[in-house]
Amino acid sequence: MNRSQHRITTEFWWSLAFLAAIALVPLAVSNPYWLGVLIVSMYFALLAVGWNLLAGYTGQFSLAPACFAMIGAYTTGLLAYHLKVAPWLGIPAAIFVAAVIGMTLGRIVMRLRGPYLALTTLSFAEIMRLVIGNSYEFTRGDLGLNVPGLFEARLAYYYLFLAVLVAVQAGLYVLMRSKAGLYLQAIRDDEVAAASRGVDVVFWKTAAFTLSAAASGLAGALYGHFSQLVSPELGLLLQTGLVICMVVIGGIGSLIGPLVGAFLVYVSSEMLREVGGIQLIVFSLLVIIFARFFREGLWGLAKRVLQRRTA
Amino acid sequence: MSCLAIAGVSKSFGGLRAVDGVSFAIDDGELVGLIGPNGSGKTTLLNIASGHQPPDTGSVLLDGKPIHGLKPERIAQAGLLRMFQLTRVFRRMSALDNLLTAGRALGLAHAQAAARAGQLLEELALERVRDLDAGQLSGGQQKLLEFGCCFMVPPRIALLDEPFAAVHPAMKEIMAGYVRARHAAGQTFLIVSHDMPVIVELCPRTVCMNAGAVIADEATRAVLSDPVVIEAYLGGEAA
Repeated sequence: MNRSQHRITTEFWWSLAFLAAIALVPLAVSNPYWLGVLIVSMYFALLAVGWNLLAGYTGQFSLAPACFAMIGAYTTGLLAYHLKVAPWLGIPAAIFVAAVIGMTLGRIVMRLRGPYLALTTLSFAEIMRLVIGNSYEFTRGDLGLNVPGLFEARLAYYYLFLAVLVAVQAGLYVLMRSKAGLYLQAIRDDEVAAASRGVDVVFWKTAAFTLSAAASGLAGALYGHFSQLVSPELGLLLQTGLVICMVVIGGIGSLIGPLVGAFLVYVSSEMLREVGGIQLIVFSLLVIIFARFFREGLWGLAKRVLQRRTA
Repeated sequence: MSCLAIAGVSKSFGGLRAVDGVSFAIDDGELVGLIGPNGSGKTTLLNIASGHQPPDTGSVLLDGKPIHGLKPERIAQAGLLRMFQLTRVFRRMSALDNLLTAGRALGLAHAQAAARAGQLLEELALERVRDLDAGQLSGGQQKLLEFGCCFMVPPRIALLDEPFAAVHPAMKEIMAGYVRARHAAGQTFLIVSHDMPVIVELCPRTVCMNAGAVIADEATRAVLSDPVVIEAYLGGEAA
C-alpha cells in the first residue's frame, strides 16, 4: 500500500472511531435538546462530507450545498404533502432529484473556475430558494411544509443519521481509494494537465457535482423528516457558510476533517447561542486563521502532534 | 502511413497568424526536432495537435485518423501525449500518484500501473521522492515527473515542449538518455527545443518554423546551416 492510500485509510479508520464515540454519547446524554443538537450536527456532517468531495477533493468551490439540501427536503416534503408518498419512497426520490439537478448545474458551470464558479453556484442557490419561497400555492412559501416524521423516539433518528453517515463515509472511502480518487484530485490540481493525460475531465467533474448534490439531498430529506418542517430557510447562504466553516476548520481534503469540524462547529455554535449572535463572527475569524495559517485544519494539526509523538 | 501528419494547419489570433499553413509528417519511429525563434508558432502547433486549441483550417491525422477537433483527453487516449513548456504536474499529489493517474487514465489496471510507475521512478531517478507531493519537488524533478507521465503507457507519439529548459544538467542527461533509449526501441518523438546541441545530438531530422510557417525541414545538420534558418534566428543578412 503506498503512502497516499495509507493516509486515506488512516483517515477513514479515525473517522469510524470518531463516529463510534458519537454512537456512545446517548449513554451519557439523555437530554433531548442535546440529542437534537447532535442530530443536526450529523445533518451538517453529511453536507460537509458531500461538499468536501466537491471542493476539497475536486477543487470545485460550489456555494450551493445548502441549496441541494433544500431541494432534497422539498422533494420528499412535496411528495408527502401533495401525493401522500411515504418517506421510504420520498427519500430516494430526494436523492435522485438532487443528483439530477446537481448534474445539470455541474454541466452548466463546467468551464467556470474559482470565483466565477462560486458566484454562479451562489446565484443558482439563491434563485432556487426564492423560487421555492415564492411558489406559495405549491410549496406554501415561507410558511414551510409539514412533513411526516419517521419515528417517535429521538434516539431512533440519532442512530438513523449515524448509520447513514457511516454508509456515506464508507462509500467515499471506496471512491477515493479507486481510480476516481486519483482523477478527482488530478482535476483539482490541474485540469489541463489531467485532460492531456487522458482523464475525462467533463465526466469526472460532473460525477463529483452529482454525488455531492446527492449526498446533500439525502441529508436535507432526512432533516426534513426529522424536524417535520421543510422551509426555504434550509437553503440560506448562512447554512452554506456554516458548512464551509466546518470543512475548513476540520480539515479540507481529508476524510475525517469535515466530520469532526461539523460536530465542533455546530455544538459550539449552540453553546455560543446564549452569548448572543456572535457565532458567525467567531467562525469567520477561525476560517480566516485556518485558511491562512493551517491549510489542513484541525486534522492537519492533530496529525503533526501524532507524528511528533511517534518520531 | 505516417504516425502523425499535419496538413495545411493555420491558426490566427486576431490579426496575428500564429500558425500559417503548416504541413509536415512524422513517420513511425522518427525522432524529429522542432525549432524556431520565439513566437514562431511552435507551441501553438503543439496545442493544436494535442487538442488544446482548434485549428482554423487544416487537419491533424494520427495513424491516418483525423484528431483535430477532438478533446485533449480523447487525443491522449488515441496515443498522442505531450509535455508542457511550463511544467504541469498535480502539485498536491505524490509523485507516485501523478504517475498512477496517467497510467489509470490510459486504461492500466491498478497493479499494472503500480508496477510501471515503480519502473519509471527508478529509471528517472525519482525513487527517493516517490511519496513527496509533486509541488515539493525541484523544478527539474517536476519536469522529469511530467516526462514520466508521458511514458506510463508508451504513446504512439510523444510531443515534448522544451523538456530541457531550465533543468539541471544531470537531469537533462537522464531525460536525454531516456529519449535516446526509447527512440532506439522504436518510440516516435517530436521535440521542441532551443537547446541546439541537444537537438543536434538527438534528432536526425529537424523542422524549423518562423513567423508561423515551416521554413526548413530536412536533416538537422542541413537545417542548421541553411541560410534561411540562420537569418530567422539572427535576423538580417547572415554572413
